[in-house]
Amino acid sequence: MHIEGDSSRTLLCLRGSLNITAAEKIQAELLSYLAGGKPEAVDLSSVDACDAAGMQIVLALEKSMAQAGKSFRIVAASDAFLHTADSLGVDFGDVLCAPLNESGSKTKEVENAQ
Amino acid sequence: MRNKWTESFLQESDDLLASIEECALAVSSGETTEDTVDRLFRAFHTIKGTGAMCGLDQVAGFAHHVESLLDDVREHRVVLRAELADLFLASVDQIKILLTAELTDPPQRVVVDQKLIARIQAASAPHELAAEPRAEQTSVAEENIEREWEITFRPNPEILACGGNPILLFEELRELGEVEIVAHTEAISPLEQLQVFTCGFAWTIRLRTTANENAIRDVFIFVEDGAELSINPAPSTAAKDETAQAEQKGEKVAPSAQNASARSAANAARHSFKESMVRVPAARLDRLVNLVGELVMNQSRLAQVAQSVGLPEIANPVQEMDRLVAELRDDVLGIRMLPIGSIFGRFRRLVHDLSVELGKEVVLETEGEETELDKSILDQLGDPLVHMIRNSVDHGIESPQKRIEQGKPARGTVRLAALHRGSDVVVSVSDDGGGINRAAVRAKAVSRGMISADAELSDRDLLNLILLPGFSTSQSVTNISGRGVGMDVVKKQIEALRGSLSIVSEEGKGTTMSLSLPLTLAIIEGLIVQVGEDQFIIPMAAITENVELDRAQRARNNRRNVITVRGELVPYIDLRAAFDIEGSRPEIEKVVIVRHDEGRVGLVVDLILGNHQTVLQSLGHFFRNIDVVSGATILGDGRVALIFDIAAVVRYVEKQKNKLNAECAEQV
Repeated sequence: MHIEGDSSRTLLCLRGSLNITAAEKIQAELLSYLAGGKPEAVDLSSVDACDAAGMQIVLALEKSMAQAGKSFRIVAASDAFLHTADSLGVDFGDVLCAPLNESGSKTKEVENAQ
Repeated sequence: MRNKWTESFLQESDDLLASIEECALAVSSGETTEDTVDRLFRAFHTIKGTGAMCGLDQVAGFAHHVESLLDDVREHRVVLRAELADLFLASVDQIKILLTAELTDPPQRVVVDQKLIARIQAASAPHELAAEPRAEQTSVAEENIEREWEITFRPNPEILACGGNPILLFEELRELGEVEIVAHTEAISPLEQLQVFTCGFAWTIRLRTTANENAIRDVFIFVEDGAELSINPAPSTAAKDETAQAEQKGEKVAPSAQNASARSAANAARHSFKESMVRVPAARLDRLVNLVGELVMNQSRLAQVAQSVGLPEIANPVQEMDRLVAELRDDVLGIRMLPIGSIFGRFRRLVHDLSVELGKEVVLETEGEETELDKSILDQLGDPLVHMIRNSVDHGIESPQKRIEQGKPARGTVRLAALHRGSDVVVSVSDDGGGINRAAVRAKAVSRGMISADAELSDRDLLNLILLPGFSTSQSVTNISGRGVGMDVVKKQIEALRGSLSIVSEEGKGTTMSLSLPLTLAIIEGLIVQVGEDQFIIPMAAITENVELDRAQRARNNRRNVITVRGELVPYIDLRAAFDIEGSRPEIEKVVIVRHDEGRVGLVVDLILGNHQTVLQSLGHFFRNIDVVSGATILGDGRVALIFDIAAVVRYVEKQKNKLNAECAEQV
């Protein structure tokens, strides 16, 4: 897992495998990231594998954001992630939407090398 | 080397095989329900799947053949009939052989019985198709109809941690037809509280398929434990289906839907039961009981010290501790209590096999399965009961022809019952057979030199002769019983469990053998008595009353060691003399009257000190030859007290007496 931070921390980018073997690590990284700032959007276009445990983490992140009164958007998602969402019957509806404006976005990357 | 999954499978397979036996015997007696075939199928399917996963390929391969046969039965291609029960039972034996070979270290290679496989395959032969045309039509009709099903699935929360993958399940469903999956994510916690290995998903799935409910259920077969699963015709299409089905097979559709919901409810009940159970190795439980035993003893010593110090500041907490320890002791012992029905299952198989082997028709009836006994007693009760049931079927129940001649039903009955009586559990094995032939027993005892030809014996004493070593009245030695060993061993085993054995028999009508057993072996309620400087404990359950014995009474009976208790002569054992205990006798001694072999016997002691509830500790390896005591305990003051085994004390004294008599006779 590799993390690159920036000052505004509005766009969160998840990379690599979003699965059960990395789940605890991803959760810890995300919690640490949330403690430092609240992202407004998530970029999942670099997720190359995702399972039910990984999907659960994304849904849990969405709930945390909602509880904190923040909106949650997925600006981009890889085929692997979309396929899992489809397989598990998870409908992100409006959450899955167009990217933020170039000007407003700063990226935070959560990368899982596994 | 076996991994922990294989170990777990080997343990689980016991339950699965027991369940198969139970179902097979139900098939054999024609008492099948809707669920019987499904239970059989699932058990074999699980053995196959898990066996393959654990690398037990022979087990998996063999289970596959039976599973295929059961699939034919389920799909009405083969008629479920009593003969198949034998195949299922033989398959259980075969799997047991394969697993036993696997359990040896290193695992042995055994050859699977090819004849059995051939029989299983023959039973699945296509000619069966014609056997039940109506069933076949139904099956074909069901398969041709495309229906929409609504499946709700909330997996066991542990599914992800156990390596389960819901995505693969849904892929399997997609192979059956068109699916529409909706995930319910309400139970997923926010990231801060999320347990990443705990599955919070639940799903509602619509499936349009020609496959039947069983095929759909099979997809979930390995993830059903601890899950909530319901499979029902989709509401919007159910009415349409009903009409379509009604056109083809009349009223059969509605019951089918009812069955589905009933089955789903039954599954839910089964799962909620499973969820509430925890499998714990018996050794851990034993350790817990031992620790509580130590705690109880130390608490008792502490209470005694607190009393002697006489400080209220200590007395109160010690009293409270006393209450808590007593509660803890009862709860821990309660954990070890198991329903006796858990061992009844194997006797059904035994009676079934014996009836086939002996050409007799015998049915086993059971009663009081819910009666609870300590696990350590249950573990040792199996062998004695097996022997008693064998005796009943082999010697007791007559051949069908003879029974009919005697005006009895051709089918004999062996009844296994358990019930509470006071602080004991009474387990009885009764049969409606020929009863014990007194004349044959007497003749055999005379011929063996056990009694003289003119000996006058009460009916009870005559019947008890069959409990003596080397006694057998069987005219022919069979494989089943009648080798002249057994009932004496049974009696010894029961006495070792602090129990007793009694026989009631009526010629021509049957025999009942009853075992009276204590609820637990771990804790004993006893009476502390003193002889000389030594203290002993006599089990309270055996005591009927205490009386006094003065010198005049001793002298009156001419040293015959009998005392008159309310007009009845009761023999007594002088413990001081029997065990060479030093010291002078008090003026007035006490006699503790105990029950023994349906009679009474007195134990003469110096003093009776009071009640004592104690934890039984074994004497250990070095004292294993001392059989007059069942164990020992530590008293409040730290002294060790031996706990008498009444039956063994009586045996010991009788043996000493016989030895003395023989020596006297030699001298004369």
